[in-house]
Amino acid sequence: MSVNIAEYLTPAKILTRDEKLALDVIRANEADPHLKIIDQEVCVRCTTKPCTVTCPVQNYHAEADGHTTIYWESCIECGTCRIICPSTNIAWKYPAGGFGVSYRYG
Amino acid sequence: MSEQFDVAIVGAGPGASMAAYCLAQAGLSVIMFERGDAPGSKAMFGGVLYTPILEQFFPDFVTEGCVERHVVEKRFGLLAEADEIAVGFRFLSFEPPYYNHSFTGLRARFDRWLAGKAEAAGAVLVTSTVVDEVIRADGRVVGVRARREGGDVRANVVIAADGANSLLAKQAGLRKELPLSVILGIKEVVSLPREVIEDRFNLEGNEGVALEYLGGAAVKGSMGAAFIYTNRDTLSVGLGCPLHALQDLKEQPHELLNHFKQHPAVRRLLRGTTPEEYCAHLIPELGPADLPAMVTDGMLVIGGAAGLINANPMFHEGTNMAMASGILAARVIIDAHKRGDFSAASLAGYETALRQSFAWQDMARYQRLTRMAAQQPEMFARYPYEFARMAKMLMTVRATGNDFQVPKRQLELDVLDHFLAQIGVFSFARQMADMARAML
Repeated sequence: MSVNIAEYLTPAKILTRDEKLALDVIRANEADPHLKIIDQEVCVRCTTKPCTVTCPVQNYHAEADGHTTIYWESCIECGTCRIICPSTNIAWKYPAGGFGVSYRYG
Repeated sequence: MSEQFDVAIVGAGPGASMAAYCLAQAGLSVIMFERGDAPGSKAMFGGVLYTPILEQFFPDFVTEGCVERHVVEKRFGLLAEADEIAVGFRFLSFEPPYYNHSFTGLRARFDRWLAGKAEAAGAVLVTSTVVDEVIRADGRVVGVRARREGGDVRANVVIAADGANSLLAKQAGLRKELPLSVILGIKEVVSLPREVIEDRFNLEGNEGVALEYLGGAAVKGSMGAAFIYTNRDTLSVGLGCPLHALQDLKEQPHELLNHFKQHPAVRRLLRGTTPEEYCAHLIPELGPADLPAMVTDGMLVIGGAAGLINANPMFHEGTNMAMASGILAARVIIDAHKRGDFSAASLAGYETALRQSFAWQDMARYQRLTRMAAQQPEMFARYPYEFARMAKMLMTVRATGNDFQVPKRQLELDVLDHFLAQIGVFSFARQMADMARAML
């Protein structure tokens, strides 16, 4: 087999968050969100909000009123938010069997 | 009446499958629970597999296709903004078929293959099933509760092999909550024809490389490292930083990876690649202090669930340590089975054997180095830039007004001045001594 080398000299694709997530196979369990904020008032008082800068898929969003929105549907289940939250304010469990991310490479 | 097994294993990663294989071979009834739709579908590593254990158990593992390429080159680079200095090791003298027992791999493929070995030996594998808790009776663990109707399974021994987050080990008091020193690993798998990989990375046939980039511009000066590993027709491109460092950096981790991919010394290695997958996982490097116990009545913990990871600038091991701990756990359970005694005292031999094995020794030894490095942020934030700068000063060839070219003596003095001003003899000597002391 021969390879046209010029094809492989183009700059690597740099992907946005959404483009990265679009690569993955994720089945969200709409009937049972597996991540929840326990008490939004705790988020309102939180000044550092480390969940918003450590989640590898940027699933935590601080709203203008201080509440936290979790895009749990695109969670890849690493556990970072569970540990990083200074107030242990995230109810975290694994998605039910058959749901969540399914890596083809890993 | 719930089902009864000799051993229930929560997880179907490398440690779980090795344990299941050994137990099933010895004639015990074993059930493994995998929460993904197949073993490996929730797993991620860098990664390189270290395989002496596989040779011992499955001597044909290379030809069976569970690994990607054998690593002939290891390279440690320090990146400054647009420069790189590196130390490389290229070992071409190791013999086939196992070479240096270092193979690149992908977990979705590897874990599935190894779980297949356990199944062939007689272990039962249940996929798409989450286990949320253990069942207790009279203060001891007597089984597991899967999240589904009639999900109770009784077992004489439960092995927590549920990986980095190990909610089971935590629940059973075998482990504290993960500390913020735990590493978040993220990576993109990108594809490239194998001929292009071999040409670009100077490889013949199934040879592969492991490129590591420590601190510096690879991770914006944060504590951590980035990597590129060659698989058969893909590259694994990623990075790992402790959570405390990411918290301080305040940069989206996936954008940090984009930054690494665009570094002038890195981007040329990634030309023409097609992104295939993005993944992230915690790397639970713990120390003895985070692990109050490895066994309790009717239960023990192995692999990543037990923090058996050796993640430091020099070595990145874990799957091999998980497999070792799985084998050791199986041996102790087989003995306990003969005695009919599954108390913590009867299972205590696991902890003793583990402490004597390379897995525990390496984990305990290198976590001291990691802890020390965490106290010296300049090693990641400044030294890569300064060392690259000093190397550049020494190597720069330029003309001067009163001579044809700057004499080398002048360059050496410039480097010395820079070292004294920016790093300092005493602080550097103290850091090197601290590092040496951490390893003694």
